[in-house]
Amino acid sequence: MRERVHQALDVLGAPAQPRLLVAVSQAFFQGGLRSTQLTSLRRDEERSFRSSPYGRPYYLCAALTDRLSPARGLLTLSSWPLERRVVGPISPRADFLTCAIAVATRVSRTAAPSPESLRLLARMGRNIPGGELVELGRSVDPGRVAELAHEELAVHAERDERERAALAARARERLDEAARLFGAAPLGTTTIRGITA
Amino acid sequence: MSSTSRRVDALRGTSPQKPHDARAIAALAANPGCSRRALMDGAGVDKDAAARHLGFPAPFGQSPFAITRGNVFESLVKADGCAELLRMLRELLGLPVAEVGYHDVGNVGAHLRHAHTRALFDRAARGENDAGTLYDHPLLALDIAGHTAYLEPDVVAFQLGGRFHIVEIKSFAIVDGQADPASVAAAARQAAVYVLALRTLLEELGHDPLSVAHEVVLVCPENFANRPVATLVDIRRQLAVLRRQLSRMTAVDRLMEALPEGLSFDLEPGDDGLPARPAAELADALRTVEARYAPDCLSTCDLCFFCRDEARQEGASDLLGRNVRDELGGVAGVGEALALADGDRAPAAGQEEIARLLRTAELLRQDCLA
Repeated sequence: MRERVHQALDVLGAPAQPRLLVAVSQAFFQGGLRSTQLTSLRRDEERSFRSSPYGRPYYLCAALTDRLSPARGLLTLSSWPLERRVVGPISPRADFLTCAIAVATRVSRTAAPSPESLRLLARMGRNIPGGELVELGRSVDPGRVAELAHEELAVHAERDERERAALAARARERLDEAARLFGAAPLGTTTIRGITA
Repeated sequence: MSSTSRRVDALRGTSPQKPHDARAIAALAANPGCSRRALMDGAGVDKDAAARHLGFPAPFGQSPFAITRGNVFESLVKADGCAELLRMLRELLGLPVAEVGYHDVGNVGAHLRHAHTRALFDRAARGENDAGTLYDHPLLALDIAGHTAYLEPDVVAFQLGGRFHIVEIKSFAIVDGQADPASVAAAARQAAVYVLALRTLLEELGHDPLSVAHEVVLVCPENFANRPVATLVDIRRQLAVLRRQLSRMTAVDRLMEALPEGLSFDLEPGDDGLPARPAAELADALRTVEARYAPDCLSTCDLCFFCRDEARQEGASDLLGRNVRDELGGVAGVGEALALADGDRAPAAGQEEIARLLRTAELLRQDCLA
């Protein structure tokens, strides 16, 4: 199962929710992932890492929020740079667009894309400005979806990269190795006052 | 502690206070004329437990299937950084493409969610440029008769012309642009609670409460697919009713004045865990407070079967619905109305008009049956 999650995350190249991972796994691989299996995954990975650090070639780990705690329901790969694994306010949208581009590229490279992959692409494409006319069940043009996603991503990219770099720097400075992968415990009231003030 | 809240606490007795949620507060606005409900909710009496003890349990609460369906639909709308929701807000309200900031308030621990919500909204209202657009899992508070109720709107959207919009995600379908009016009304009442809570919050922080829009965004599945669609719902009327009802609850002392000293709805459990008090005694206590039963109570109030039974015994016209009751103004009950209709009873002063109408109706009925 770890393998399948790894495959799906590797295709997407951005933090993703279990629901999307399941859809990607169905679209491009044999599927067989269920989102209920993914709920305890992160905790198991963390336990394994803490008992023997770097005993595995990769770990499925958390995305870090702006307070460096694990973000709810997002999975990432330990092999990614920290900048990709932290999420600022803009990041969920930027990551969605990155994922859409990844899915579109993968579909365009496949000779006979599966119906699931086309449906996933249509569902993502519909939620990108300019893609409103994409109808479910009709043929979708992966090139067009990727193009639209690139257009919107260009609007957000600069601010997102800046915020992520700042967060990643803070994570490097404050967290130990395990916490960098799996997130720090939620902070106490006093620290939060310091951050939000 | 004020004398009112002491008296209200005495009314509840030793049982713990039942916290209000948005559904319960919204249900208040559904029947603003009912003193029994205002008083019991003001005191935080567990109406469900009371109804069960009285032998009138209401088949109440949502079915687990409906809850699952609602949660699945909500997670679909919020999936991938609220991708679906952003599309709808862009279409519906013309949200600029650059506005995509997403804050999940639920990322802080449960005990900090309200404080964090306050801090985030304060920042947003001050117009700082890192203010987000979507706030997921915020936690608002509303003061209900001296006690704080915590409320969780689905999403709060900001930055649409500097205004906050409450987003309410519901899983009933909109088919051909039409939805079940009762479901929409319930959603609007619930959203009104959130609007009021958010306005209160902004006012406390020294911002303009009117920056919370009185139009809420209602997100529902469209037709027979699971594709979400958003509509704007104007909730000004629900908001007005809710305000009035809440001010009545804070004015519970006026309702209390009319009550006999020592009255209590206490549900203290005995050794077997069930309320120790005889059910008849509790029923008598409840009957001292006037209820206003209407058939819609069946979908909003735990005590509905008890009040319906009471209305039946009295032969009250409330049983037939609000319209009929209002038409029959001045007529005490169903028996009297029937007697006026077949002429067994001479109309009293002021009843001539309604008696004439009832007699005409009776003649028409006879014609139809003949």
